[in-house]
Amino acid sequence: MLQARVLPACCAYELMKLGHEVTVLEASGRHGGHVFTIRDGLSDGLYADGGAELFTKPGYERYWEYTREFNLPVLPYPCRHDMLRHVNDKFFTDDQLRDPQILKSFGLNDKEVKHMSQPGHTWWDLKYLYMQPYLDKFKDEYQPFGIGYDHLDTTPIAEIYKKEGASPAALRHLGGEKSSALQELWGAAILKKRGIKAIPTDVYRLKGGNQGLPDAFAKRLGARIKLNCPIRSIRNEKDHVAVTYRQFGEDKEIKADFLANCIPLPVFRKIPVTPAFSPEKQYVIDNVQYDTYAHFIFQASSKFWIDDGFKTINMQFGHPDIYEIWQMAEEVDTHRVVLLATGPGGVSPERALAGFRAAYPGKKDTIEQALVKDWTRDPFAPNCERLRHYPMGELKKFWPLIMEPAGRIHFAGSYADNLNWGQEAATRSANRVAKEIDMA
Amino acid sequence: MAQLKRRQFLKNTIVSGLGASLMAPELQAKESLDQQSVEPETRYAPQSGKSKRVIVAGAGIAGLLCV
Repeated sequence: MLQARVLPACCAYELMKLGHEVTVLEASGRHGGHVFTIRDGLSDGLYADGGAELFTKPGYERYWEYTREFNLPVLPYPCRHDMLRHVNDKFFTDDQLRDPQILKSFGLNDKEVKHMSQPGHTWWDLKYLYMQPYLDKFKDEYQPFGIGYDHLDTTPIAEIYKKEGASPAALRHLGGEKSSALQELWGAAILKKRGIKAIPTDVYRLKGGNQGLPDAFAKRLGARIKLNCPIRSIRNEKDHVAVTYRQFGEDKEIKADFLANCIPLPVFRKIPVTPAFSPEKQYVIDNVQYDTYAHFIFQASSKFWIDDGFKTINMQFGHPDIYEIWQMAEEVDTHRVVLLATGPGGVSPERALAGFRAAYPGKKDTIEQALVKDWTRDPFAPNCERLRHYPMGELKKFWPLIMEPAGRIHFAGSYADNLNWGQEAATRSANRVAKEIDMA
Repeated sequence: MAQLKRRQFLKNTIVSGLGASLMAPELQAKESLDQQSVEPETRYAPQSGKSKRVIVAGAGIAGLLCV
């Protein structure tokens, strides 16, 4: 009955409604972690998602259920439409990147040109041309082993591309000399099973900012969330867990039946846990790698790119200080616009703006304000998503151990699922952990 | 419109009141929940039959969801 009732409803959030007694300990002074909507410093009611940016459909099924449950308005997010991409030191539109003549000029072979020039295909779909024959052997998206591909964890995916006839130009574009073929194929198979493109172009965001979802949860959790309460140590006993945390300058201890760790592993690994985890689990905790970057927020007084003849400001740059840029909060009723960009940590907003002005292919801009949310400098959430793949040949060291409980400690978060997509992995793994604890 | 006699009115209200008090507690709860805008804290019984104490470390989206 529980399964029938809860699935496909949101199992994790149901735990509180099921009557379990919960306490959330958060080290920082706000909830939401990497889901963070910025308003300070922006004019006219503009806002920008400084962390988690978007979600897809299909995909993010549980996330969508929450948006319906809490009546959160969802907006299409055209940040990947009509994009200008920087390839071989030139800008190309998506239409141009489907033009057979242009594709041939890159050195792609006939098979690749035919594949890439099909309507709806994007620049990112090329790898599927060569991965496709391998994907249907994955029957269970949580089980990459035992289907005849185990040996491919030590084979670079580039070898698969070569074997399947990729041109030298495609190999340069696809890379993959240091990526495990098994892990690349598994990731592609997961997306295929969920009906999602490699890089989905039709994506969505919450009106008013993606922080609307954690805000909705926090509202319902109320005083169960304790902010500014960093965990100092954990005792993982046979019949309970005991957590020591700091609050108002004092160490306090609480005991519980279970601990759900939703702290990113690079932060969690600094917390003393007794007794020690098994060497295998400790290896996972110590060696999972994440990416991290900065979000730059530019406010402009007009859609200056229109005057320069561009449909959108959705652009990818080959610049070291700024990777890509797009518009958000389009629905806010103002002549001003807010632009989001990504770039490396440690870059000031002024330097990112200078990078934009060097890379932007138009004549002038009307940017009047530059801000940054540099996650690499964030003391509480310095990591973004887990790296897509584990080191080549090491999948068995990490999977499925990364999502398995250790004693009374369970593991959820963007790192603890089969795909590293932040909010998707977070919601899926949180559902799993809630179910594990409820059924324990 | 026919006038409702005092005796009949009392009878009706007693029966409906009795009916309401005999209604299963979970149905009563559901009715009251349906009138609430914020989700209830407790709607069903735990699967294991025992409420558990759970500490969630981190109030990111996974942490909030976990509860």
